[in-house]
Amino acid sequence: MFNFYEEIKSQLKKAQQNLLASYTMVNLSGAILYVEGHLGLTVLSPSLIAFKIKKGRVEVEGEGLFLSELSLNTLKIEGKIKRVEEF
Amino acid sequence: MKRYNRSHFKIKSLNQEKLFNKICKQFELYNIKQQENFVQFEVDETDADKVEKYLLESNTTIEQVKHNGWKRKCKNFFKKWGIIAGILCGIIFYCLQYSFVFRIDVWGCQNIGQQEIVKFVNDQLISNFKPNIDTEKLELELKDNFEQISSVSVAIIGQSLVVNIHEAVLPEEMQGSFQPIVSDYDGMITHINLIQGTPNVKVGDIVQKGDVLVYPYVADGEGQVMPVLPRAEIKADVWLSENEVFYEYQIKQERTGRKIECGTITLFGLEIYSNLSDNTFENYESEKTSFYLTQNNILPFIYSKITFYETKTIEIIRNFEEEKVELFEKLRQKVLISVAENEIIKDEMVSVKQGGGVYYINLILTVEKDIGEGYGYIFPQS
Repeated sequence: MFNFYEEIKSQLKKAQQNLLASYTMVNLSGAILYVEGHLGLTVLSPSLIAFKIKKGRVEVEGEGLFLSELSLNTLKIEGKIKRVEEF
Repeated sequence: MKRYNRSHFKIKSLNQEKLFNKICKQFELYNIKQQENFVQFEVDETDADKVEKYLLESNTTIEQVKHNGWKRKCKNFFKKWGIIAGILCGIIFYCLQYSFVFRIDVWGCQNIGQQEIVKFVNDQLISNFKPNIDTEKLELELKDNFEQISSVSVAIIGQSLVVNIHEAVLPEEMQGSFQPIVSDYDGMITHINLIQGTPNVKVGDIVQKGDVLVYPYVADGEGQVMPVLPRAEIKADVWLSENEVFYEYQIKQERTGRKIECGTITLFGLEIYSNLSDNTFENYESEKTSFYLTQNNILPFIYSKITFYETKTIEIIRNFEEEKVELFEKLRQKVLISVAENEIIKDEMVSVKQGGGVYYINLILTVEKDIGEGYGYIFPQS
């Protein structure tokens, strides 16, 4: 199967590829946020979900947020996503 | 994993994020929602027990655990030993009772008593246990013990022992007693073709309806009488007649068409309502009809209706000579009703007697008929 993200990464130089090895995040219309490469939850509430990534932290703000899926390195947030910020 | 195969947890934890981070290293979690003091989440039904154990080990308060999915339901079901034992007992009982015959059905009995067969079969059975029933032996025994049975088949169908009987068709001589051939009409014998039996008449004899034509027996040279079914073709000239009376002068009462109706309603013989009006007719006929007003018998109201028809007296004067042709034809048609299509009318005779304006007409047709054709009647011995 064609892997869109892997294809983009493979076209970059090796140095750049190391930088991209942190996480992948896809926001679908502000309703679903899919994340690959998280390193653990830090905050879980209906208005804020935060998780660690390599060299930082991501905060997702919104309304009625919940984790529809959570596994070792992937998660999926659903709800009304208003802001996604990386620290 | 489909949603309906997940287990739902409701927990209370101080550091829920840390807890989920630990759990998600081993299991996938779904629909994690934080609600006030509680957190709800779902795991695959297969992981539920392990997650529950993990939660208990990590001192987490589990408020509620709800298992969905047919796998868990089946698992729970098979833990209910009472139900399983009941089902097993039921199956065993069904298997055991299915091995026995509880009913004997007898088909095809017409002259042989059904109960007689059932009793015989019951007596022959060693036990009702299916493997102990020898159907072939039963068939042979039935054939040996019942002469009327032509063929028989015995089969076990479900929990019934079906005995299918074909009764033997006995020859006519063995079925019943014979009756003589008797005359159906008054007449004179013109032809006899005897096939079997002893004749009682000869050509030229006058017979009346009910007379014996052929007896149901034959006698041999030694005088031994042997019953037989009488058979013969016997023809006779039969006289068929009809009468008619003709009046030249007649007085008749005829309705004018005017009528008066009145009625009464009664209950238990007591008159409740009456609509009796005066009958003003000088000459009249009356008709009375009664019927119940209600269908139930609680209050049997009876309505009686009386109708008075006005009549008048009329004189009828007729002429015999003018009407005799029509009259004879009418009589002829009445006689012809008794004549079959292939029967020959040999003679026709009309006689008229007169006296005081009254004519007595008599029409006689002479027809050749089969008066004792075929067989004597057989009445079965039973």
